[in-house]
Amino acid sequence: MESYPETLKTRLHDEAYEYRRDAFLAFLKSPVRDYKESPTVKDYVEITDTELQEMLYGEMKESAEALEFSESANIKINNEEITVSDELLKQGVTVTTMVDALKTQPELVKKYVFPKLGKERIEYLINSAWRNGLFINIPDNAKVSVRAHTIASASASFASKTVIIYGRESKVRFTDTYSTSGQGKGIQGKNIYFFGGESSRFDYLYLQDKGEEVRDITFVKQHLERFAEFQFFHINHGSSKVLFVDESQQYGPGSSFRVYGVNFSTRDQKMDIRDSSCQEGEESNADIQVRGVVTGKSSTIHRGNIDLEEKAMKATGFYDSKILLLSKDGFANSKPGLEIKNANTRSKHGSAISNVDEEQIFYLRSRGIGDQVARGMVTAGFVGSMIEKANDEDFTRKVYQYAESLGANAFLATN
Amino acid sequence: MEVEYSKDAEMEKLLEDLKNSNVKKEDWEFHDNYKPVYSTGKGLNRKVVEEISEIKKEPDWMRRFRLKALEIFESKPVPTWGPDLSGIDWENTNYYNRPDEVNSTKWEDVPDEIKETFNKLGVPEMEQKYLAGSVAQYDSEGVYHSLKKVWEDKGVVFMDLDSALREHPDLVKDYFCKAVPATDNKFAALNGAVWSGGSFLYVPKGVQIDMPLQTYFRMNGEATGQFEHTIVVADEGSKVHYIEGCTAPRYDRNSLHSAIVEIYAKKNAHARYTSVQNWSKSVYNMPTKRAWVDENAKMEWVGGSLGSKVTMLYPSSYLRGPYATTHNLNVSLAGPGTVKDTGAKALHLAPHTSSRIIAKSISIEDGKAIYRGLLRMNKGAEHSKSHVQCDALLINDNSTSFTYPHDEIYEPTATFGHEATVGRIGTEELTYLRSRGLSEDEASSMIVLGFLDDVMKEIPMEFAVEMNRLIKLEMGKLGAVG
Repeated sequence: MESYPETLKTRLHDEAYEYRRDAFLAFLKSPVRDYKESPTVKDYVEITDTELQEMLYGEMKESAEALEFSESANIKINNEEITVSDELLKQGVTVTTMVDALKTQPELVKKYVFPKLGKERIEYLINSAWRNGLFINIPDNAKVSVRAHTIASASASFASKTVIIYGRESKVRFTDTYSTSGQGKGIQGKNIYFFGGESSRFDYLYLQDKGEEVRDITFVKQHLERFAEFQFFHINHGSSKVLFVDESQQYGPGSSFRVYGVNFSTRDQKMDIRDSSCQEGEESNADIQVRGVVTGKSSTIHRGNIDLEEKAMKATGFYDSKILLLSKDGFANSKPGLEIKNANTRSKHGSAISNVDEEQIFYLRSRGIGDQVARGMVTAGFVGSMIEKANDEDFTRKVYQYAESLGANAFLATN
Repeated sequence: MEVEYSKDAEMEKLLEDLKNSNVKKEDWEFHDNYKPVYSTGKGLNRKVVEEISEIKKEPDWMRRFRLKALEIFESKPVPTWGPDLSGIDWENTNYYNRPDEVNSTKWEDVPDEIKETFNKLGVPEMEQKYLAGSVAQYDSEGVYHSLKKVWEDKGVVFMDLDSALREHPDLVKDYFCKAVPATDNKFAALNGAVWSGGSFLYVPKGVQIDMPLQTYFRMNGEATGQFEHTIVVADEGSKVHYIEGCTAPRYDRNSLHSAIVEIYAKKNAHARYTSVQNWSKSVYNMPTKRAWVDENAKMEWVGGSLGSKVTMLYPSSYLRGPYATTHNLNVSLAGPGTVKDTGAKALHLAPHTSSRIIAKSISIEDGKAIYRGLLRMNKGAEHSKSHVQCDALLINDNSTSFTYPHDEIYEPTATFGHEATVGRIGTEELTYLRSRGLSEDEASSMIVLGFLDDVMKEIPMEFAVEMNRLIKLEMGKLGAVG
């Protein structure tokens, strides 16, 4: 990292120089996470400084190949060239790269990008080192459906930052898919920040299905104004290491945050999935539900926190984590937290970890269904109820496919 | 004779007590002017540790153990992941105060002032009525111990640990610091270096004691430390209920309580440990409590953390044998200006083990209640089950509550569930009760008691009454609730 300040002054010297520098200073001051509370495990998904350096100095190489989903994408990104569909342009949606936005939309960048340095060590670093990413501005009252698909080379390491601003009373549905092409062990970090205007509604469908050896780091932050609603469906399936952090910043009274997350880990994958709410707005609410399926030698940890700040009168928060632990060599952990600083609130969390219920298997088998298929069905049922709420055929099909195959394969591996 | 009581009658009595109690802080926080006969003075170093060992005329292995523990204590940093511990004055704390040369089995031999203190706390009265045996500790040393003859005849050993080390050295050596080694944490190391007093209870194979045994700890001096070490061994097929109570006067300078409790529940044994902690608000309470639970044994932790300035307490059960069970029930009361960082740990190390943890906390004014717990199911803990429930009640607008559970499951056949809620007394509940003719005070009392019901019904009546009086005291006028 010693030569990074020099890189900042040269390769990364642009309109965001001061922001990048402050974010890097915050990174240097921020301590390495150390989970002393656990007697056995220091960190669940350890991202070393060497890996961070790879990310810092890497360049994004996008693949020219288009895989599934890309046909329907109305924002396509290839070698920093962005194609936006007419339908979006008609609604007044502007899409640029983050680098271009620094020059073309300085006022918005100053208002939304510069004040937000982040909260965590690696998030700071991504905010300092990004070279790629999109800047999307959706006007007030717009009703748009966006489908984006980013396909990067699996060997590429890079940091990217995406900022999505959507105005008052806008209604947005955004399907965002991340995959890789080819083989490689790239380390890919991204910060995705949302800024929701008053009474806006955003449905965000996120799918990460990168190559087996890629390491993926993602921070998603939702900044919600009065009565803004955010519904988040996230699926993590690919990569060897996944550090996924999702935290709402609910300033607005009456803002609403709903999360439905599903994480599939297999082989020797390691997943650290954190979903939290930070609520300042009166009568704001958060409802976070996360499911995990663990097979092979993989590990999944669900971390969650409901933070009801002093101003959050009559706010409510709920966090629920359930993990199906399907293999003898895998492990599943959950660390749900509550930080309640106002008594006039209600909050709750629950977590459960177990194998497939044998009574359900018995029921299906008595209807003539084979053991393997039955286990796939139960696993699919376990996650399906979450994802069907997204009301997206492609998305749901994909999740069922992952679940059925993991559930059935877990059975094959143990018999 | 076992005391019989019905739950309804108990609740009625508790409610009545809560309504009519004129309890004052001075009931517990008084201090007498008794001066210790010996003190090592302020601060801690190798010389102090050697001095303590020499005064006690300990065997050489214990002296060496203490010195090793001191090295470990000095090498470990003060934990920073929990509450602020910067108020502990390590330099000016008095680590050993010997109250008297006497440790008697008769109350008459105890110095008058100390006896008077224990009388005020109701200890001799309780012993007569409800207990099979009793130990009383004043500052660093036990001053009184007794055990009813019927149990003595059956081979039960119950005395302070210093006496046990002299009279049953091999038995003590077998268990001392096995479950809680000095390397466990900084405060366990401190206890290893300067431990004094505490109880040793050994229940032989097959002996089932039907009345509880109790130790009462009293800390009298200012800026002192109490470092008792308690060992309870329930041998195969035995049954025992051990109770601890603790109080101290309030001073301007902080005191430190860093105890170790080790419980060994052997095959088919049933051990229950109840403690009601009511240290004053100048005490940092940092005990380490742990049980080894063998095959088909049952360990029950029942606790009330009511007093102290800061408490960090996580009673742990290591379920080492198949079908071992642990239950952990805890009530924490975070009064104004205090922090209760409490919780529980259960480690499932064998098949078919089960655990149930229920933690309830109440935060009053700016009191901060924190639940921090660990539940671990190791690989091989097949078909084990666990349920964790932690609920928090916030009384005032500025009350806060934090929950940090850690659940680690390495065994696919295990079943685990966890739930937690935080809220305050609902206006609907109050309105309902008031519409039935109860005053607001009565309604609030009833809701608070209902919230604590799971734990209260497991606590012996005398302690439950004491706990309710303390809760009432902390909450001031219950009419303010809701």
